[in-house]
Amino acid sequence: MKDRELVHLYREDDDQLAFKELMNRHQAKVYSYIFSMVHNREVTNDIFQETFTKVITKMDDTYNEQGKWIAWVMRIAHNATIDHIRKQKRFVDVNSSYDKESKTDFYDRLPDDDAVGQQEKLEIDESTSELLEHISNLPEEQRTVVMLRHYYEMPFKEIADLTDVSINTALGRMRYALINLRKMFDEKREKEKSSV
Amino acid sequence: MSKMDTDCIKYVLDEMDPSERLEFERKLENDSNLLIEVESIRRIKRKLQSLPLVDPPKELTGSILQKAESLTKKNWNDRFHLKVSMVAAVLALSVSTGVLLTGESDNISNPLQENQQATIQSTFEGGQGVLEQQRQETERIQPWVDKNDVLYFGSQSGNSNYANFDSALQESYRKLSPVQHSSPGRFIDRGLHLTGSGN
Repeated sequence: MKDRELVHLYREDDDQLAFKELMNRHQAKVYSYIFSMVHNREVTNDIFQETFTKVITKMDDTYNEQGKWIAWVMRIAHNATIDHIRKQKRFVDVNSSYDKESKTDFYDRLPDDDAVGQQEKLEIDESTSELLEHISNLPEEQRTVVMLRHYYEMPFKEIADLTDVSINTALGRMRYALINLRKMFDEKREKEKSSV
Repeated sequence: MSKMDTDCIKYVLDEMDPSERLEFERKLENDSNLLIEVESIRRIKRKLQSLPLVDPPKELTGSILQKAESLTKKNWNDRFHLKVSMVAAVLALSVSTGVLLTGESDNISNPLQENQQATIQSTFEGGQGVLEQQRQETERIQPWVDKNDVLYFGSQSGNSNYANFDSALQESYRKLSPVQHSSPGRFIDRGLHLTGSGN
């Protein structure tokens, strides 16, 4: 059964099984996308929950059955993720000065990447881990395009719509992301060679 | 970003239409640098395929499904109440319309109807009273005399033209003729009697 038919069943007949099937189909992709953007299980869980709560409550009002359901869900997930990332950035900006009480400055309060990395480590092989690390170092805009393309095989027209840029800009971001990743892999290889 | 760069990424990501693709492949055959660039991007793209899918925790999806179910129940209840209210409203409307229609046809005394009839009757009677009053007032009307505009011919009697004036006056009296078709109702209607003027 197609997504559209399942959505129709859920909306018109309150069919819970239809909604469960929709979730089963897409939950891993949505979750992976959010996780690839925020690199934190707790935050990912929160954003994932927020996303699907909005999906449940707003499906009757804002979802137009003409469009793809998953593209609509992804827009919600993407907006929630970007909101979180921007809030984090604001927090760092506002608190960048020296704090007399805690006797810490901006650099002391920076998150410990290693600690986060250890905490969030997934059971994956070394090359994938390296890839994830490089992806996390990409600028947010480039990372977004790579992930939307990878997890959803989203056409660039849709990526452009979702991120409010032109198709050429979206393509350009993808190109720079791939070039940056290549550069990161090359540098890592060079380092390994020189250490041997 | 140049057109070649855009084409490169579109080619690797399969975003070209068949004609564009064919044209680009022709260029690839003749340009080794372009071929190297394409292969390099393709290699990175292949690496991305190994990105893992991460499943959400089961309790998280469970809580979302539960929320969906409870919301559905709430919506169902809301919709049920709405339907019941609509049915009740339609019933009430049809019953009241029916009572009105049957009340009119069978001359059943109806407080609303009686009230309306009384209002109409009082309005009608009130209108009649006003007309009667106007008629009585019209009958009581007396001729109006403009006392500020009365000519006193006596003031002119002392001068030398008295004889001429007297003859002119006699002449004008002579010209007066009795009214043949008097219509007193006209004066009553208009409520105003005109008098002569010195001008």
